[in-house]
Amino acid sequence: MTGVPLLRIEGLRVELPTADGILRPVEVVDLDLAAGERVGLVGESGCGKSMTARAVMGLLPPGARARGRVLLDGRDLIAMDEAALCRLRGRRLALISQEPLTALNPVKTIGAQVAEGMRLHFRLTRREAAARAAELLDRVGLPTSRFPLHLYAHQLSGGQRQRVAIAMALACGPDLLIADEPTTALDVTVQARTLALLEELSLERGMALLLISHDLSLVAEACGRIAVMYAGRIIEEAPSGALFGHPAHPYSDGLLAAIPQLQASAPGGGPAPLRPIAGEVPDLRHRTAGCGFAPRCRLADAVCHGSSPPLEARTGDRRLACFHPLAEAKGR
Amino acid sequence: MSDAWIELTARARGNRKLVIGGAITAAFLALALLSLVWTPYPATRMDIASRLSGFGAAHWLGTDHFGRDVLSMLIAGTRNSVAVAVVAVGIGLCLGVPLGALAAARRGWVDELMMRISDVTFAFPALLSAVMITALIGPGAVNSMIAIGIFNVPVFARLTRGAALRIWSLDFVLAARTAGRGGLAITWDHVLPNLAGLIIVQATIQFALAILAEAGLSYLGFGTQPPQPSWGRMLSDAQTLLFMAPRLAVLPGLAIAVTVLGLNLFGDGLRDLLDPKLGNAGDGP
Amino acid sequence: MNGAPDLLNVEDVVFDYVLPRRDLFGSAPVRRALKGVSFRLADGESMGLVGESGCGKTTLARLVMGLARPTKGRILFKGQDLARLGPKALARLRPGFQMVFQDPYGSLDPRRRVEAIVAEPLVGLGRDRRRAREAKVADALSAVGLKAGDGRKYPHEFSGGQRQRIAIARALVVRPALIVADEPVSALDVSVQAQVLNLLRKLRADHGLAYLFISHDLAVVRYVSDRVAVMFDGSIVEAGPTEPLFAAPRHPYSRALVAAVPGGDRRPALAVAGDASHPRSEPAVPDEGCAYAGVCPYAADLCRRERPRPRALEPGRLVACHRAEEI
Repeated sequence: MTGVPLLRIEGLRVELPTADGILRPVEVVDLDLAAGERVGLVGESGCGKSMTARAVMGLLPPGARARGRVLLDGRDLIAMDEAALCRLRGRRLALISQEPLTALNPVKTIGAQVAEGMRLHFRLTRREAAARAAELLDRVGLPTSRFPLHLYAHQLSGGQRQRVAIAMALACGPDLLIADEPTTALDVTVQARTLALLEELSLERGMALLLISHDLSLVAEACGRIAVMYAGRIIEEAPSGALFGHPAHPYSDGLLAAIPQLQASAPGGGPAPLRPIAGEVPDLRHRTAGCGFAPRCRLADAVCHGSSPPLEARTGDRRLACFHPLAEAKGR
Repeated sequence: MSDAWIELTARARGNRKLVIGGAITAAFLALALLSLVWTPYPATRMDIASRLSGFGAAHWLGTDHFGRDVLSMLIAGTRNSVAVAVVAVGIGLCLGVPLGALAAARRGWVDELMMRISDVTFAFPALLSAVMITALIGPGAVNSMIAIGIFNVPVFARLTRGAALRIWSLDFVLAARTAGRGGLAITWDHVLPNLAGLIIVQATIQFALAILAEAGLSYLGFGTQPPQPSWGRMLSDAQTLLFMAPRLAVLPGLAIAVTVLGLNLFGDGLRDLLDPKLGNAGDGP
Repeated sequence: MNGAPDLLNVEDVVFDYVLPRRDLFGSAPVRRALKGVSFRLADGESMGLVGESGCGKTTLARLVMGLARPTKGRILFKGQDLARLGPKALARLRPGFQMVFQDPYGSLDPRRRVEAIVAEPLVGLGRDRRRAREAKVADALSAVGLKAGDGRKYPHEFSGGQRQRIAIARALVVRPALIVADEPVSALDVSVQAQVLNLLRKLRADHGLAYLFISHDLAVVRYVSDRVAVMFDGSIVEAGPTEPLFAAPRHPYSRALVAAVPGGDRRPALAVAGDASHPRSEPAVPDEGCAYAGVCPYAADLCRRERPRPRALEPGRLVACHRAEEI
C-alpha cells in the first residue's frame, strides 16, 4: 500500500467494565484502509466486528472504553473530544447499520432526514438541501417521481429504508463509509442490489468502504480484501480471492468448509458435505490467555493454549495470527 | 437454580429502593401482626381522665379526645389497613388475572366483552364509586374491601391480558400448541409463570392504592366503623381539634404517607429487580 | 414421486389475513397471503420451500401444522382434512407432525427445565407414564447430541445452537413422520449452522423423517432437501427436484433468486426492479395477471392479463410462467 492510509487502526482495544470484571469485546485490532478501498471485516457473533466499527465512529455503548489509536488522515479519533468527532461524523466518516427499521426516525420525512446532515455540515438552506436530497435519493434508486420527499419511513419496505439510510450516509460526501451488516435483515435479491449499489458508490466517489458481515461469500463479492475476526482479534487478512482459494488459518478454512454452497457440487453430484467446526464461539467472559480458537482447533497444541499468536505479515499480501498455519499450497 | 438465586439476592441488596421500601413494608406488616397479640394499651380503651395528653412517658404519642392511646390506635390501624388491602387486592387478583388470561387465550367476543366491561368500570372514578357502593350496601370494613376490590379487577385484567397476549405470540407457546396442549394447559404452564413478576409488582402498587382508598373511605365515614380503629377515621376525628392537638392529625397522616411511600418504593425496586429476569420471556441472552 | 401414499397433501390452499378495519361499515379488508398453493409430500421425502419475505412460506407452514385454517382449499395429513378435525382428533394426530422454529431463544419457555420442554409433546398426548416419558426424553436428547444430564438445566444455560438442538429433540420425542422446520438455522452462526444441518440430515436418514424445510437461504435448502418449491407473493412459481432446479431455474424469479446468491453471476438478480419500484403503501400487484409481472424483465401483455397456472415443463418440474419455454 502506497502512501498514508486513509484509516489506520492501531492496537485498538475496547473494554467493557461489568459486574463480572472487565470484558474485552475487542482484544486487539490493527487494520489499514486506503482511500477508495473496499475491505470486508468478517466474523461470527461475539468476534468484536461491530464493536470495532463503533469504536472507529466513537459511538461505543455507555461504559465502554476504547484504547489504542484510530487515525483518520493522521488524526486520532479516540483522542478527540465529542465536539470534534461530531464535526467529522457524517462529513468525513459515516455509518449505516443493520436495522433499517430503527435507523430512520418514524416521525420525520425521508427528505428531512437526508437533508439533516447537509444542513448541519454545509449550512445549506432548506431548499438547497431538499434539491440535493432529491438527487441523492435518485442516485440510490428511489426517484422522487415515485418516492416524494415527504414520505415517511413506515411507507417504505426494508430494502427501501436501507437505501434512504445509505442516502443519509452519503449526503455529505464522506471519505469512509462503514456498513455494519447492512443487508442482513433484507431479502436475498434486495441484498444483491444493495451491495451492488454500495460498490458503485464507492467506485464513483472514491469512497472507502468497510463492510462488516458474518457472511463471508457476500463480503468476498464486494471487497478486494477481507479481514477475518475471531474472539476479538483479526486472525487472518488477505485479498478475497486468496482467502477463498487457500485460507491459511484453520478457522478461515473451517468457516469456508462449513458454508453450504449453492453452485459447487461433490464429485458424485449433489451438495458437498458440510464440515462443521466443533464446539461453539467462546463467551466473552470465558476467554483464555492462549489463542482464542485453540479449544476448537484440530491443530492446537500446548503453544497455542499458552499464548495468543500475534498478527504477522506473510507472503502474498497476507497477514496471519497462527502458530500452525495451513500449507499455503492447499487448494479449494 | 441456586446460582440464579444468589445473583438475585445480590442484586436485591444493591438496590436501594428495594431495601428501604422493603424495610418500611416489612415494619408495617410486622406491626400489623404484632397488633394481633399486643398493643401498648387496648386501642379502644377510653381513659377520659387522660384525654388530650401530649407526648409523655405513659402515652408515648399522647391520647386523643376520648383518652385513647394514639400509639395503640396507630398500631391497630395497621392491622385494619392490611386486612382491607389484602382482601381488596386479593379480589382483584383472583378475579382479574383469570379474566385477563381468559380474554388473551380466547380472543374474539370473549375478549371484546371483557374489555368493554373493564372499560366501563374504569370510566367511573374509583374512589367516588367506592363511596357510592358503600353508601348503597352500607358502610363497614367488609364492604369497603368489596368496593375497593371491584376496582382492582379491571386493573389486573388489563395487565394480564396485555402481557399474556404478548406471550401467546411467542414461539414456545406455538410449540406447545403443536405439542397438542390446550388453551388452559398453556395458560397455566406457560403464560402465567412468565407473568408472575409483572403481576407481583402491580400487586404491590395496588396494595398501596388500596391503603389510601381505605383511609379515604374511613375518613369520609364510609369505611371502617367505630369502635374499630382506622387511620382514616383518626384523621377525620382530628379535624375539629386541629389547633388544639395537631399531632392527632399529623401522626395518622404520617403513618399513611410513610406506608404508601414504602410500598411504592418496594414495588419500584421489585420491578427493577424482576423485570429483566422474570416476566419477559423471549428475550435474547 | 415414488408411488408411496402421500403423507401431506396441500390442495389449492388460499389464506386471507383480516386487516384492521378502515371504516365502520362494510367488510374488513383482507390481504391474500396464499393464492392457491398445491403440493404433495410423500413419506420420507424432504421438500424445501424458498422465497423472500411476504411470499407466504411461513403462513403455509402454520397452516400445514394446523395452527390456522385455510380460507379455501384443504390440507390433508395422512388423508385427513385438518380443518375438519375437532380439537381432540387434531391433538391425537399431532405426534405425526411437529415443528421446529426459527428463534432458538423464543421457542423454549425460559421458565421451564429442558426435560419438561422436551417432554411437552408427550404430555400433550397424555399416553405415557412418567418413567416411559423420561426414557423417551433421554433418547431424544442423546439423538441430538446432548447429554441426559442437560435435561435438568434451563434454556438460558445453553447457546443458540444447543437450544436449537433442544427444539429438535422436542420435535423428535413423539417420533413424528413429518417435521416442519421454519428457518431453523437462520439465527445461528455459520459454524454452528453446519452442525445443526448435519444433524438434521442424519436424523432423517436414521428415522425416515419427511421434512418441510422453509428457508430464505437457497444453499441451506439445497443441502437438506430432495425437492424445492419457490414461492412468490403467495403462489408457487416453480417446483421440482433440487439439483436440476438450482442448476437451471426456469422461472424468472427463481433465476433472480439463484443469481442473487453471492458467488455466481449476479446480473439476473440486478435486472429485477423489485423493491425500488414503488413505496409499500401502494398496492404492489394488481389482482389479475401474474404476480411477478410488475417486476419481471420478460413480462408481456399476456402476463399482465392472465395468471399463469403451474404446468409441467418436464416430468416433475412445474413452472408457473407463460413464457417459460422462450426465456
